[in-house]
Amino acid sequence: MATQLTKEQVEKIAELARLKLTSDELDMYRIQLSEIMSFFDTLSEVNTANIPPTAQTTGLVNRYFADVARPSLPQDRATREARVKQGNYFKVKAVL
Amino acid sequence: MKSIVELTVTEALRQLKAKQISAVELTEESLSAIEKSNGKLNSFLTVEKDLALMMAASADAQIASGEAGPLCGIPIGIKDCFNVEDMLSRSASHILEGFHSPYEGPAIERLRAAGTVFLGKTNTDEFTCGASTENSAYGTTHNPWDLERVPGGSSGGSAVAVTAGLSLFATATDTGGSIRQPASFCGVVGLKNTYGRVPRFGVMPMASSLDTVGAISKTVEDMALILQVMAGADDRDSTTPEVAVPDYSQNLKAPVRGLKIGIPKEYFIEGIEAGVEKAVRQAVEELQNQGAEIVEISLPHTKYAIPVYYLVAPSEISSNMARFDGIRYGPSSDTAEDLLDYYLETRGTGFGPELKRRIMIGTHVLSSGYYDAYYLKAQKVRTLICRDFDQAFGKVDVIAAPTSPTTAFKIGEKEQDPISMYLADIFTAPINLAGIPALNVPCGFSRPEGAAVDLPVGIQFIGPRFSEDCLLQVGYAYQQATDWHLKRPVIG
Amino acid sequence: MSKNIPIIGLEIHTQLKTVSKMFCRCQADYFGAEPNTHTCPVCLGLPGALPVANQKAIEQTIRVGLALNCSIPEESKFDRKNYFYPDLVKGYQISQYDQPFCVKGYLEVDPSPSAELAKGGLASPLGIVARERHALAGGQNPLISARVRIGITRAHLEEDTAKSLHETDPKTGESYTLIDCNKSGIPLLEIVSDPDMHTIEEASAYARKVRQIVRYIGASDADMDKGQLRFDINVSISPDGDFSKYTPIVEVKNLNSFIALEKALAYEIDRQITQYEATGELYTAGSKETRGWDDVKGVTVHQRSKEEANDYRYFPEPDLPPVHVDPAWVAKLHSELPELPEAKKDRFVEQYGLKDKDAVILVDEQANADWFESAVGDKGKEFAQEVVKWLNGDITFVLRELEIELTASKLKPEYVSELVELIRSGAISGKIAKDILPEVVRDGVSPVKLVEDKGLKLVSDTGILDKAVQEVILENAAVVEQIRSGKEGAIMFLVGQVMKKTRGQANPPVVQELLRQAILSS
Repeated sequence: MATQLTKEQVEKIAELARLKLTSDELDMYRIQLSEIMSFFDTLSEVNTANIPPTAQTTGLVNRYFADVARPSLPQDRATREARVKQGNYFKVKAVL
Repeated sequence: MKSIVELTVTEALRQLKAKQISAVELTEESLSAIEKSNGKLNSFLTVEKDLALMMAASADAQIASGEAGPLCGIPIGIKDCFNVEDMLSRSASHILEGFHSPYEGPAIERLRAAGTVFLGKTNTDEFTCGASTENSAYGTTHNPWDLERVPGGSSGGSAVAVTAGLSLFATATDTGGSIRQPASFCGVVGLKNTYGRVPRFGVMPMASSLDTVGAISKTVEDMALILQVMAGADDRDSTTPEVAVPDYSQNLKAPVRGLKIGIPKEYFIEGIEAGVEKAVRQAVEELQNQGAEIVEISLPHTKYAIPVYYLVAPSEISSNMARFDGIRYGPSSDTAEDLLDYYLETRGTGFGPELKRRIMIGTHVLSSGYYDAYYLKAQKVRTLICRDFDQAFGKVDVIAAPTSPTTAFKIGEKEQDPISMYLADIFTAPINLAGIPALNVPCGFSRPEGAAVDLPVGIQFIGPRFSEDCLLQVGYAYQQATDWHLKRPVIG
Repeated sequence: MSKNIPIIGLEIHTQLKTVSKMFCRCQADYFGAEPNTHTCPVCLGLPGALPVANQKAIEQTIRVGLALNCSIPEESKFDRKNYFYPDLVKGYQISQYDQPFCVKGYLEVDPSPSAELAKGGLASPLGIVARERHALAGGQNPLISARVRIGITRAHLEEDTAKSLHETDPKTGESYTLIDCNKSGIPLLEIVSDPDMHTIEEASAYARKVRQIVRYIGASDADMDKGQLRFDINVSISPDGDFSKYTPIVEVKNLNSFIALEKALAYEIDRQITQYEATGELYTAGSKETRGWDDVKGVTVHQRSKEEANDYRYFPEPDLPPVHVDPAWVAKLHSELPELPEAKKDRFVEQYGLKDKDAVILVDEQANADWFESAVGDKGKEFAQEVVKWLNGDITFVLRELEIELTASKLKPEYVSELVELIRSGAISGKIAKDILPEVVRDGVSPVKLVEDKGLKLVSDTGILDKAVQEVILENAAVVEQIRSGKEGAIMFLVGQVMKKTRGQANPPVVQELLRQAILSS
């Protein structure tokens, strides 16, 4: 397992996660993330052949709801918390 | 008449019923205590004075008309990661600055219906990511036992609210230890429920397959009352099994005679604070004196729990945090030139360093080429950790162990070293991975090297899924014979 | 060896017909509603909201899979597909990654030249060799008429995104996007074909058939004007017919009409052939380009290349338990599927003796097929064929003039039935039927009643007709002479004259016989 992350790798991760980092932060996180990734190396000593993964601990299956509608939020409540709006639309002021 | 600092929920309910005190008086005392001490403690982020007094007045009316819910008139703190309708709810993050929730979930609905009074929001690590409450965007919370020390995290604000007598109990969440560890650092009771016992809908998530919703209280007796109100499935949360909610209070007084208590050797390793081990072992002895049978057990995969936890949790965190883009709520970038920049700036500014760290770990671990080696591998080891517990519960009814390897550490002590902070969860995280319940009760004090005062120690009782009633019994039996839970800090 | 064979795969997204959304209980019929009026914490992506799966959507997904001949695995689950876009409220879409509800299906389609293509003068790349691999019926022109089997890789269930409107401020020139979350969370079925199509006709026929089927079984209205059905195409060219070598794959997303589908395919195929001839570039792992269709300019436009490919970081959705699909339930759903268009068409040909092409038109819309059967009842093949003649002929003409669909009109099936019956029984002539038809269709009047009220019944009473017959014979002596001298066909002229005198109400065969007797016997 690669446990030393390069600066490019960290930049790519930060962009994938949409986090702007300063150059200082980039350095700091590169060191910290590398340490943390090394920390996970111990797992390789565990024999997990034929062990299924556990994604959920409830053991539940087949949880649905019947196809019936319930009241939605009123329009003003749904849009209340947005800072930038146009009428009752959410607005993103950015060139796509 | 006991002061608000010493009053328990159980006693307060008795006094309210007997008209020895009114809900408004109780709330006023809480607000007064907050006013006096919160400056030093930073336990409450927001105090909703007017709302609280209104709710208290309403509670008094309900008590008078005989329509009181089971917790009517009890003033509580609410951890900031809970959505409360129309209340400022930020999970102690800048990215939710100004966010007044348009909704709330069943946990809060049930507490509201039970008649509790909402005093305000308590501090937490940002989006509950942390073990000290130092990662809050609004300043750390101080441990009232020693103001230079952390209260634990992430539910530090709630633990302090209870131990300092600012509220009679407080809601909290536990994903890797966030209820139990601060409860142990502050000398109060904290219950991490079975995953799915209390619905998560309405509670801002950290790691979806690990998050549990609960509370912190002064006594086990109180906790039984609180859990009674909060527990139960809800059709808005697909991960709440339809398991009946027993009468926790009724079954509380069952004796521990004949109960098999397992002591896992992996939890008594070298490096634990001496005073912690001593206090925990004494607590176990007390239970043995009461007739419990002590059995040595092994949970062999314990040491892998932290790497597994810090692979699984950040993966889920990185995904759960993706919705914060400032478009439908929260602050957003004004100056971005294009869409990519807009996201980068909005999120880069809004999130704190620990959260960014976890988001990046998660993003990396899930990305193509790494998924099998990290995420999938971790989920397989998780299975082994679950099996350790299953096998143990074939031999014993309950497991007893220290909640934390240390007592409260100093503020700033672990700031530079994320990994040392992660290791604080070493005894709590395995329980979250298995989805089982655990109850922390105060069991003594320890004065580690360099400490000016004695600091609280907590023991946790761990049980199989939906065994909260059994854990509460053990805790109650312990508290009948000891008085650690009655000790309160004197705020310096 | 043929050159430049297109390799086409189609991803069809269809909004399922449910009362509520996929993971929350907001009302799903949002079309035309004010923005952000069909939303809740879940479909707004508020922090702390959790998904709960809509059982009906799962059921519809499986039904579509069954109608597309898919296998339905017993284990299924939802996964998170993580990426950032303003219309994706959670920053991830709940979808299915490696355990979709439906896998490995197929559809047999009959590609035929698209009328729109022909109208627009768009050439189909017909210089392409027949499809040896898949042709099921040897046709004269295998390119157009050969039935082909298109493989379906999978069909999975996911949630739709919010609606984004891209606008520009006329004053400042600033571009921005408006988001309406009413569409966020609508159940969406994604049907992915194998890259089995090699002509535009095949792709178009396949897309149309899928649409037809989802409508037939009631899983989706697939109304494209409402954005309920969209296509993504994956196109590359095999330069020399060796399907292991092909140009870089291009994906064109979000085509929302059949015309756009066909035009985009035509443009893209042409563009890629040209590009290959210039650069000779072939596909290498990861070289996939995303392009958008500009309907105004009629071109595809580059959007994203392989370097910017999204890493979706799929992982199992922790908030939703997995789904164990009970085979007994699947069997029940299968047995309860309505008759599909193919089967219905075959049955119409057999049961009613219809021509294949007539049957195809009739079954195209299930409502029309039902209408037809209602009109025919159990009156047998000849009756059915008469009904079809009327439907395809005069009725279509009248409906077009009224600009209305058959099932939306006031014409009831029993009225056509009555009309055919009236003619058969000799009560009225075909001409009278034609005359009254517009009123029947427009006003929804029973032909029987109309004939009654207006006294339009054919007169067959020879006593009454004799007079007219005699008059006509007298007035047309020359024609009568022609008939007598052997030109028997001229009698039709005299029949026409009698019809004129009787205002069309004489029964023509009766008239003809009377004339013949009168002329030839004297």
